[in-house]
Amino acid sequence: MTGREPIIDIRNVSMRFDDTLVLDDISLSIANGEFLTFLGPSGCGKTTLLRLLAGFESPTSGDIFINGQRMNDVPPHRREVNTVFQSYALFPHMTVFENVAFGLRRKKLPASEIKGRVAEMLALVKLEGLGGRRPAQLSGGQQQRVALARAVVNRPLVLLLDEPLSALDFKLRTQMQMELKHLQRRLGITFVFVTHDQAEAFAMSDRVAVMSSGHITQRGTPQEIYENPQNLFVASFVGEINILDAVITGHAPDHLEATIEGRRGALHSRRDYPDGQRVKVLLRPEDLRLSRPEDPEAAEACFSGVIKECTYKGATVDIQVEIEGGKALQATEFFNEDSEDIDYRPGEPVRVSWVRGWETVLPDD
Amino acid sequence: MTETSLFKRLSIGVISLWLVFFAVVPAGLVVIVSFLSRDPAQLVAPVPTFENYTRFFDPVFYQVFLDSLVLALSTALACLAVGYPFAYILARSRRRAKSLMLMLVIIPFWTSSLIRTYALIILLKANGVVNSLLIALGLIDEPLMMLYTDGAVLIGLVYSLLPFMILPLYAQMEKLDVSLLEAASDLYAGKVARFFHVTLPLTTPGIVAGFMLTFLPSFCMFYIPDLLGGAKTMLVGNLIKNQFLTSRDWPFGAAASIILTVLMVVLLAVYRQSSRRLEREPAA
Repeated sequence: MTGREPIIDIRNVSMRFDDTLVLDDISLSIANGEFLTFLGPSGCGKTTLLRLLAGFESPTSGDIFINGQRMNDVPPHRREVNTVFQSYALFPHMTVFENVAFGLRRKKLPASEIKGRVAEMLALVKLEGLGGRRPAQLSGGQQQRVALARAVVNRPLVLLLDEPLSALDFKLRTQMQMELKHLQRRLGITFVFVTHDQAEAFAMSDRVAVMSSGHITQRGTPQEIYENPQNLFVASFVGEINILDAVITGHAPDHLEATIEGRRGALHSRRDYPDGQRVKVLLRPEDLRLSRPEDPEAAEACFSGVIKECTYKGATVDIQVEIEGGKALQATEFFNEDSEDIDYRPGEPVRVSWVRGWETVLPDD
Repeated sequence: MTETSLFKRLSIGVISLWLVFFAVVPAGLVVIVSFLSRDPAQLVAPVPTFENYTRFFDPVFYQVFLDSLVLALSTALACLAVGYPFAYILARSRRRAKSLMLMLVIIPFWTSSLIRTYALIILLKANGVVNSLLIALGLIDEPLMMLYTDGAVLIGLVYSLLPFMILPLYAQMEKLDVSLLEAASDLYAGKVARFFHVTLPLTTPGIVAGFMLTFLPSFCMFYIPDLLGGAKTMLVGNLIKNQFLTSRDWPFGAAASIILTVLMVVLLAVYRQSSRRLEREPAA
């Protein structure tokens, strides 16, 4: 994101409702043209942050700059940002055309220009010919597109999207994710998206800010966040993960020696930990490798265990393994032409290892 | 199964009987009487006639209808002017203030509206509370003539009917989704534009309902013009009452009732038509 000037600058923003601190000293710059997602569980403050950008709320302290201008006291209707609401908030007494034209009419654009821009916008979201309908006569997916068109037609500096896809079914949602992403690339408008769905955030965003209880706990590209979570919250919030307890026992030149779940093993970490330090070892299910005791690679495996359950997922199989000591691990194996045999049966003994260096080590606190 | 269907039939039967005896039959009698002649001794003489209806083409009665119409319209508009802001504030208040305000709207229902009208007389009369207060404050030297004026009748009607405007408006405003107002602001609508393009169109059904509930009854509340207007202005309600109780001209009173009923049915039909159109056609 270097080389691009920030369109939004959030500086030390805190937000307090009555006695609850909803946002605690948030600072973040959003680059022009970026697709940024606030990802977090409900109640983490992500929607409040979006409402601050829209102007529906004013921060208790701190400043918000949009396009270099301090916006704290600027009401929503004077901000060059538009919102796609979670409930869509389409005007029920107006047609699709009137809904989309609403912002342009308030800006007092000439009728001919409004007509042209609305028609162009409706074509862009594939709603040609539906301009005369009422919102109630449209399907959920179509309403979603109207809500999007109504905001984008104003060519805002920033488009704010508050969980706009949460009411759609899975198939439509994935389709809309792609469409949103393409639309954003095509228009070059900065998108600030809010969701609690990790897959959705990763599928669309240039950058993700993971939030929890009023803080941004980690920011980075989807890949950075998935592969190098900076804390346990981020690790367990973005996707499935296995968490193992370990104690550092010694230092080797290229790795740390440790006791992991009672077994001796090697850990690779960017950070150094002193001997005796208790740590958590994080492993994604797809990073775990299962092998049968007679297989050659079983020799270097760390754990031995027993298959508990296999769930067939089409391209993958989710396998639950209980390792010695009783801990259950989640592993995902991919079908491929070469390794024909991942057909494990419950009760079968296996060895568990992982791709060297793919583990994440965090201090246990 | 049979028990519930028996209960269903029984309850529907009782209600139907009630309606037949106390609504359909009396209404039918009124229709019949309106086509009969007057008889001073026996109230009604069984001689068919259209005279009761043709009498309404007399300019005197025409004027009575016109006066009633103007008063009813003024009442409804005054209720709207007072009730709309009140309902707006009510819908946007916090829960405790809201229940207090709702109580204040509803409490007057606990007292007979006749008694409340007498209370208004005490306020408005020449040596009443309002005049005494104004004189004590030195704002006026002589008491204002407030009672027995058209203004007093209007005040009385608005006072009695205001809850019927506030409650449907409040119900409509409660339903108004806050995110629609936010969406309007987000799309560059200032407070005024937001009111006229979103709030007003979406509360119009409440306005129409409240209008009907105040406009129609103010036609028939004969005791308020009687008590506060000093029976000087003749309105449709008073006219009908007088025919039955004073002039003992039942057929004419019946005809007047029928005309009023037809007028209300027409208005209700117009209301239904307009509310349907409001749903279908684009506003603005």
